[in-house]
Amino acid sequence: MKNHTLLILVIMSLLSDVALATGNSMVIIANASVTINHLSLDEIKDIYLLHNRQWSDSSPIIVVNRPSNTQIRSRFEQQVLGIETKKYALHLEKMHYQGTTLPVIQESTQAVIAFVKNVPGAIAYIEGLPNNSQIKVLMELK
Amino acid sequence: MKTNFTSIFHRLLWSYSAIFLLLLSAVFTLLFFKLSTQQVHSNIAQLHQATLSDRTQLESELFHTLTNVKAWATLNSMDDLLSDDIDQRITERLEQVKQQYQLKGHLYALSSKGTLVTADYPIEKTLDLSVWFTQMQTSNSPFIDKYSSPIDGSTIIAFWQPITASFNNQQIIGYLIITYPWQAVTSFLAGNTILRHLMLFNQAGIAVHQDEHLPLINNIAVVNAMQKESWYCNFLSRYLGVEEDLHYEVTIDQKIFFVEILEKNPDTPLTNAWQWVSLIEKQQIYAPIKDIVIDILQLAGVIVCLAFFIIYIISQRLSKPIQTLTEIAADIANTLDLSKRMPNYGHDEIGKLAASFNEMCNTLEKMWQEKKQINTDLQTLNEQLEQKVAERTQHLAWQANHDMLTGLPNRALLEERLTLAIARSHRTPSMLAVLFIDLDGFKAVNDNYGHDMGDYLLVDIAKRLLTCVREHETVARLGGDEFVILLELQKVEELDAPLERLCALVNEPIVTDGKILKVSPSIGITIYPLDPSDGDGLIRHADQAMYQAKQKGRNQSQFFKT
Repeated sequence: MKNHTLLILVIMSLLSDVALATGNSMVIIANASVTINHLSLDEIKDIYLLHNRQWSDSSPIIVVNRPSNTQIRSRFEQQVLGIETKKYALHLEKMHYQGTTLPVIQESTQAVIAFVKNVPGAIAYIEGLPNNSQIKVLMELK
Repeated sequence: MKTNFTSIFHRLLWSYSAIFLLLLSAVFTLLFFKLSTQQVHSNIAQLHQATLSDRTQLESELFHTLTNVKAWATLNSMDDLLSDDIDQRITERLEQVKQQYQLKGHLYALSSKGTLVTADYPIEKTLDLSVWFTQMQTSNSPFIDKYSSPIDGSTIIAFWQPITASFNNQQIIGYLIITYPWQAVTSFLAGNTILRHLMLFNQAGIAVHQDEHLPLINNIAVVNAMQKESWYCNFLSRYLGVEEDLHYEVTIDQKIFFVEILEKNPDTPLTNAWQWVSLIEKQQIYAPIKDIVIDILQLAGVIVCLAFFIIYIISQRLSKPIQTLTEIAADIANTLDLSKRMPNYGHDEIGKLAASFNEMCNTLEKMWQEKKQINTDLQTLNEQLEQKVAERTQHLAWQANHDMLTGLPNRALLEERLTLAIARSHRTPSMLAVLFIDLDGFKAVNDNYGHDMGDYLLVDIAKRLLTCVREHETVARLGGDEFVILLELQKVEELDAPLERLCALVNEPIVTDGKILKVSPSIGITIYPLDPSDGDGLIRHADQAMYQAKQKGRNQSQFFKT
């Protein structure tokens, strides 16, 4: 009985992801305190590769990632960063050993949204537009 | 064994005993004092150590808790405070930690504004925790002293730690609080209340913990105000080398306690929040001393008995020889028995005395023997002497009555004999003849051959004359060459034969040494009672008759004629 439920959930999550993948676009969101309104892909890449760690007003960029084995992250890595998962992970590790603060990990979309809402200078990616007016949308990938 | 002790014995016994008792009591008193103070000190020190160790233990427990809260405040999941823990990652983590570490209290995560975000158990998020928030804002110590929990009103202490974002450690995103039930502290401190009682007072002087056995003391001011007495006499402590103590005596409810207010220890910063006061009941501390006293007294009793026994034996051993000496000396004085000796007493003074005494007895005994010997000798000598004297006297007596040369009675004896013979003649019908003999030619012999020859001749003649008379008759020598013979007869005619014999004998020559000596008798005879004269008269008459015979031509006899 349990195994069955688990199986169903897994399938449904996959399906949801697929549905989202097909239905929802990747959206880059940021905290309301961020002055910029739009970011290019390259700028986002810089940010997520931790090359650029400050906003234009010198406030720190708080980068938010999803856990490394999630579908949305893979999608982000593929669509936005254009880097292999392994390569990205390796890069992050390298940055970690250099003493750079790694991106914060949040597990669910709602957690990401709540985080970005509360933390000044936060940037994250979600699938689908947030319903929150307190969050800026910096980019939307179709 | 006679039980007659000398006074020396008593003196020795009592003086030794007195010295011993003095020493013993001095030693034991000192020992007792030292021991008891040592004991009390060590007991108190032990309890002090116990208190300190309890404190250290409590400190370590609390420190552990603090360390934990500090560690958990840095958990990565704490970032979720910024997202109000929507994913409940913090909740899960807190629950996990609570389970894993078996926490006595609870964990609470607050936001930077002081609102409750989550806890390690399901809880109302709308609770008012301003009491905590205020404390955390105003205090720089991560420790919150005893108070009532705003959540459930239980008595707790708490540790808190600010939580910073993992990406920005300057930014406080919330607070982590861990509560510790006060009950745990109380039950921990209630461990050893039999001997030692603990009281904790907070910074304000209010009692936060107290043993149930103690009467209630709310404020440390009460303790401070209590009359303190130093529990040990300074005089004694100076002389016995005991340290000045840091304790005070205090009377609470008629029981006396030793009170110690522990100093603030820099090694236990958390527990320094309270003033630690330790009370020890005096009676409890001194109870084992009583056992020690009893033990010591028993031991002392045994030692005293043993010592008395030994002293008795020693004293006796010293005084007995003196007594023996006295007895033996008295004995000797009484019985004069010098064969008694003292027994051997070794080489000490008494022994030498005994040996000297024995030597003296030896010498005396020898002298005594000698004296006895001398006495015996003297006696013997005396006897011999007496004998000799008797002999001599006898001899003298004889000499007085006899002629030395011939051994014949002399004139004196003759007169006696004569008297007797006269008397006898009176009694019996017998007659007495008195013959007076003179030797003719004797002078010529003396002149020709010397006096020695003459003497020899006289002796020989005397012997011959003696052969003529019977036992009761007398031959006497009057001197020179004169002899007198007394004869007893019944008839005159009885004279004839002896007379003849007599003449023949005297006429017989004496041969000696190659010489021939010749004499002849001139005899004068008188017969009593025909001649009724007395002794002298008779001799005179006989002498006259002899003279007549000589005149008639010698070598003949002549009767007396009136």
